[in-house]
Amino acid sequence: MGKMISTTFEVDTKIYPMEAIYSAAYTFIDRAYIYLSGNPKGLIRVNFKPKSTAYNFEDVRGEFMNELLSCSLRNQISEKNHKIREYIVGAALLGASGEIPHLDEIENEGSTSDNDDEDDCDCECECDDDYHYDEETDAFKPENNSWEDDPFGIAIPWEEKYTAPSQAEEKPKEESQTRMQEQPKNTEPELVPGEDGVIDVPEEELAKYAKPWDK
Amino acid sequence: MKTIELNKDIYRSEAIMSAISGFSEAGEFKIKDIGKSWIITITGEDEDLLRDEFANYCLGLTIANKKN
Repeated sequence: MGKMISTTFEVDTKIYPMEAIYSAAYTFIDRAYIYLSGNPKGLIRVNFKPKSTAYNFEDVRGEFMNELLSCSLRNQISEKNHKIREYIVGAALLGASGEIPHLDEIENEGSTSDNDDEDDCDCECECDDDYHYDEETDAFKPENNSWEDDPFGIAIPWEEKYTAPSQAEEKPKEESQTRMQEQPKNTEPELVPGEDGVIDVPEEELAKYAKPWDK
Repeated sequence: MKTIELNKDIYRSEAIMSAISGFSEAGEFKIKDIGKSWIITITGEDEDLLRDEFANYCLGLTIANKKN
């Protein structure tokens, strides 16, 4: 096996952030030996040595530089979307818990963001079409309360849904419970084995289980 | 005998110690602190390969630690 050719090139951390260099290096760690040195706040020297001669050295190096660019862009987008990503996740969790964000929380969120468009708004309730401000509860409520409605009667209990109103009134729960209690007990004869272990079943009892062709 | 210098600002100390622990059976490692960097002296059979693999392993652990 011949000696692998290695190359060293410098990467400016002002152009490519350190996180991007790490990410790109991690992508190529299975194909090349990567050794980093230098100053993380200035120039980073990347020593790049492919593990196998099967890889075209120049191609792999070019791929590394492309990956570096891709990672730095991804890192930039991630930093830009950091706040909105947190907001979306927070809103989703709040929505799942059934809580609606309080007015103070929303105002605090708005004051931390750099959105000046909110200052131009004259109204309090028409900023968002989905929510309106309820003065009594001092909180935002959904404009369309369709989630509270039950148009298909899903929330109605089975008994109420399929029992006629007149019957339901006539048969209160207590009455039905007493009827359950008044039902005759099991009148079947108790089958007790004799001393020899044989159970003598009365013929009347056997007749109950007789098939039509036995008669 | 081969030496490798690992910058403390690039490679995490925990990663280097963990890598030395992991490679201890493959060779002999001596570590020296020179301020901003660690100097690691490697003695073994295939020292070039051992050094490259060791550096890669340190980098991998450092990145994995940073991600966590």
